[in-house]
Amino acid sequence: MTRPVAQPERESLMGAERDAFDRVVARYQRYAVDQPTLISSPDSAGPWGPSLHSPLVTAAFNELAKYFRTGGDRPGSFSDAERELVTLTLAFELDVLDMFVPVHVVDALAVGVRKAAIRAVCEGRNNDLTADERVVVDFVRGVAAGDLSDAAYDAMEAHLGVRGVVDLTMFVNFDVFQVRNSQAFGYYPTRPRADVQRDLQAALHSLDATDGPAVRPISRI
Amino acid sequence: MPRPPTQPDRDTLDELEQRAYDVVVRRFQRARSDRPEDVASKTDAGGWGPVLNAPIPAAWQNELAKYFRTRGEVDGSYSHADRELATIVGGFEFDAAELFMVNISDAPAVGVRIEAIRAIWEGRDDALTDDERLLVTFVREVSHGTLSDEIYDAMERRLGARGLVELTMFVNFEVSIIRTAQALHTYERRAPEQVDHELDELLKGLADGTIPPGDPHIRIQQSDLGLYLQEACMDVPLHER
Repeated sequence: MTRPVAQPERESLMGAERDAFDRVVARYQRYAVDQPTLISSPDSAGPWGPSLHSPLVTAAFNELAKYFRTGGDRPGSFSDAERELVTLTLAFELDVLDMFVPVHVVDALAVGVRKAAIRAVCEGRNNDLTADERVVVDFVRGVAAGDLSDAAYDAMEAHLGVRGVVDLTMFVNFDVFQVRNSQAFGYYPTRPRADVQRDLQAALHSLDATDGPAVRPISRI
Repeated sequence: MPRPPTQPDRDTLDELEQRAYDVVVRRFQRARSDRPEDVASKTDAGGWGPVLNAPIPAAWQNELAKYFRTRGEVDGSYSHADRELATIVGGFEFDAAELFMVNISDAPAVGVRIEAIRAIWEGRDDALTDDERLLVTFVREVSHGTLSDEIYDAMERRLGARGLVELTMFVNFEVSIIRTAQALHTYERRAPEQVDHELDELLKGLADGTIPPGDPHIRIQQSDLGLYLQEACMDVPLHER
């Protein structure tokens, strides 16, 4: 009985559960198509693999993930840049930078998050954020900690409207849900803090060296 | 801009969102059929009402909530007692006991010891059985991202891989529901001493029989998750019963 929990064999599932398994695998393979190091095999579902022991639930959460990733396409919801800023903020707040840095630092830049903001949230510094960015970061911290202030709520509602603020609240908590599952299933091995920081600094340094591919990562949306 | 956001008017939503809206309202009304005082109107969705401003994810989460409630009806997963106890522990752990008074009321009917609920509330883990303590510790560690190998192994021995995975996801799902409720103020937060008083009265009443336990089967409804997923394949992501 060791972690990580192994992804179940497709052949062990039948009917609707096998269909659900296939959908989750197909989405992950599309998701990571530009990141081949994240795909260990043609039937890998990546971090969703362990939870495929419950295929219908996993497929349903995958549908939710798709919904949240398309917020930027819906009037009245949050933008791609806000979504990436949420994820990076949570990565720092929940001390799981190593889970998110490989994909989300690059994606954040691609959807328009400022380099200085990426660096600031990954290092837990508010001073380098614009007022708009701080509204997002304060909101994420408040929601995740269960102590969202009236000021932080009002600022976000003024920015996104009621539907947008509800969408964003659910997305923040959805991301926390995914982090806690991955931690419980042991999907991401615990690494020495120094190694995580080294990788983070390397990722941030690589940002400094690029003008940024301002290309929306469609495969993950 | 006060919280909670008001439940939207159904007529302001598009056709697909109206179907989602109806599903959520219908489930809430059924789940409170033994508690008419909790239902303000025929379109009231209770604590889900504010969340209905985003009807599609609200309906998916609602369907997932139904699915998680049915796991005690099948082999190879957690029991109804495990689920109710996990919910109650999460409520205490994340300072949201007010949200789960119905669960505390239902829990004895599925085999949760009232003494165990009181022990968790009062921080007396030594008054729990070994099995209860395993579950309580599992919930705490999973929800805080600190699950130890010892507790993981013990729970996998108890539930098997599928049961462990489903219980883990249920615990984290419940936390996401709590945090959303707290952010949107979907429930009335009361002073700690008032919550303590209500809890004490409820537990005393359940123990001496002056308060009958709830009927949890009213709140265990058939899950349509498989149908949802089939329809999602056809880009019609909500099933209308």
